[in-house]
Amino acid sequence: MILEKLIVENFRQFRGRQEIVLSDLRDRNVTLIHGENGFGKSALLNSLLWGFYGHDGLTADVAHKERIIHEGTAARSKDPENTAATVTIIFRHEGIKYTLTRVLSLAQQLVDSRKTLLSLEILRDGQTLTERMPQPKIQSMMPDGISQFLFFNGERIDHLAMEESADQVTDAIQQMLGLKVLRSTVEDLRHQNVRGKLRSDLRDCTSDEKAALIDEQTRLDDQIASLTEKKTLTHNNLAAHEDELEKINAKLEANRVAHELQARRDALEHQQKDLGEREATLTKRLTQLIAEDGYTLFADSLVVRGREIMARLRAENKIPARVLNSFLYELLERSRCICKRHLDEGTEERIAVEELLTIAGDQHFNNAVGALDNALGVIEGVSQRTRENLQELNRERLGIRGDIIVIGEQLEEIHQKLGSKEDEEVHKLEDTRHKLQLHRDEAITEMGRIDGKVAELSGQSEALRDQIQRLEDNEEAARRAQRRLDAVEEGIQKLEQILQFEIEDLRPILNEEINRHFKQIIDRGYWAELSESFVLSIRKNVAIQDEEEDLILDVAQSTGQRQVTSLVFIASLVSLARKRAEIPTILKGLTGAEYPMVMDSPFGQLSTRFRTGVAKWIPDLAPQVVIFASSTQYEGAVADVLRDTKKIGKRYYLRYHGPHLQTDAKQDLSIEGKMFEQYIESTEEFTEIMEVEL
Amino acid sequence: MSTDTSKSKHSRSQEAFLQASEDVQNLLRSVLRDEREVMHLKRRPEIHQKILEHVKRIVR
Repeated sequence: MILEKLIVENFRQFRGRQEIVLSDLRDRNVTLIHGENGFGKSALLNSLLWGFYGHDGLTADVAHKERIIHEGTAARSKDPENTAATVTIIFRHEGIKYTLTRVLSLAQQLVDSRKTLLSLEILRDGQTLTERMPQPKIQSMMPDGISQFLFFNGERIDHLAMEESADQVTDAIQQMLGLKVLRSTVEDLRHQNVRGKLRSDLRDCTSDEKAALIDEQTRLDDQIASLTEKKTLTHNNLAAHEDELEKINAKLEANRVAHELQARRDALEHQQKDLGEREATLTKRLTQLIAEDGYTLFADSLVVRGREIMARLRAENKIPARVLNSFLYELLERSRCICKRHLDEGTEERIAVEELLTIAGDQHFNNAVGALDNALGVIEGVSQRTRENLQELNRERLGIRGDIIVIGEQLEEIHQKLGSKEDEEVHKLEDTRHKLQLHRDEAITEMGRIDGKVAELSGQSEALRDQIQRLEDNEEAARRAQRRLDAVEEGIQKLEQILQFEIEDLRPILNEEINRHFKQIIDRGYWAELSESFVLSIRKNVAIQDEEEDLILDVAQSTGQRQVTSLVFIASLVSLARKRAEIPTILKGLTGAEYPMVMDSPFGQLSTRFRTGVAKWIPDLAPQVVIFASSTQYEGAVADVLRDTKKIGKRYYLRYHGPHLQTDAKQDLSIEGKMFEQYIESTEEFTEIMEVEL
Repeated sequence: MSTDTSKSKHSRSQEAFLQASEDVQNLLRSVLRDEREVMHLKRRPEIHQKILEHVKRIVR
């Protein structure tokens, strides 16, 4: 899919008709849109999402989702039927040109803003055809599940590179690479209308004993389904709390009285988050060290005892064995010594040779003595190194823990100061913030509790299934019902296994792609990797003295590094989606598709070093790239690097009209030495889209 | 137990599929065919009924 033109009319803060022609040139594939915070960058990103998917497509951070039509226009309207918000997107997909139009009238917005009018025109061979089912057609071209990876806020994707996001990472792979059908089939087979119905059929014709077990299993599965639903709800609540918190933070930061303390808190919370990640990485390394070599710490007394025994046996000339018992057995067997004496039963000579057996040993015994000596030395060495490493890691962890505690105290202090401010607005905002934080913590705890309970109930349900299968039925009808239920259960297990294999087999292919992208951004010695447990991490080689091989370490990532890793991951998925047809899969006929990437603030949280790396690489992200950036994110190194790539095909800026200019926004925008007026004072708020012509 | 597929012409997921009983293979083929037709739809009320019909047709 290549986007050609976007027309917005009275959509959110865009008053009247505004349009953007996007660059569709392969060699100049970047469309750059300058916009200060609050000028409408997110609204523009959301106009695309609303156009494609309607109300459900809007991002979580959109406030008052029911108010789509420009507020001033809606307020002045005397004709609600003919006042409307319209988004038109002209795009190409697989060689065919489409025009999508979504309209919401004011009359409809007042009743239910979710219900919009969508039309999709197809221009083929000079003729225009109207698609009868526009929404399913759009879904088939670009499923809404993948839109979150194509249209996103760059500052909010860093969570993908956190350890707890492995599920989201695998979900992204399934969505982008066409494996979602396997997951939805599993869900449908498990559904009450399928598996539940087959169970009920069996229950109606089987023995009372088996029926009771089926009832019990159904009860357990209902509990699991209800808990899973609760978890989804809790997860959504958590996301909503997070969004609310961000809004409160923004309001506090914009408030003159609270600005300084909130900015300090924001910085401290970022530090706390980064330290938490580092602590988690260290804990993981500690756990690994203890699991692999921890036993050596308890082996000291055993090593001492082993050495004592060895020394005593050596002193008694029992080790190493100087005479081999195989040799003595051979003499006794032949009843003749090497000195030609006879060794008949009961003779003094035979008894003397037999006595030698008490101090003799075989070659294996001697080898074992050598191995034991060596092992005692190795255990001593490993024990020493393990002790030192543990102390070092623990010292580092305690240091981080200490820092986290100090930051926690500073945050508490800020909370106390803001909470007791006399300014009523600050006081209220701080109170709401505190409540939201408590809700967020409750939600996190609740999700952990649900996970534990689901695991326990799933184990019980599986045990019951085995028990039910083992109970033989007498009636043919019951046996048939059992066979049908077994087939569905086997089908579910098989599909889950297939899905796991498909994703695991994609991992190395994806890693090659991730590495290719990552190398373009960051220094040598570092690389990004999707681990076996589907955690995105940055790793590095560390040379160890006296060791032939380098040690590979996870790098504790900052928010900016996580943003880069997540960006690289998404770009890799987009590029694999393009060549999907070449990648082996069990599903027949998966075709490749190219998609644009539309990013709000891709340079947001990045340090200067990353900004230039990302700016240089960003045109290679996707066949078409649309970037929104504020002046602080763009000016300086990013501007120089992006200009040098010669990939910018089109350039716009957002001109904001409103009563106030935000504190961090500039009145004029400077591009390539030219000044553009991007703020105009006005009583009514609205934004215009202006093309930059240099 | 892991299966060594290095000399096999099938991928691991194809091997796993082929290890299923014939009824299950037929069932999955039929269900996946239907699922792919409706995978982009938000509402697909008939899919469960269609799956049940496949189960009853294939497993006798």
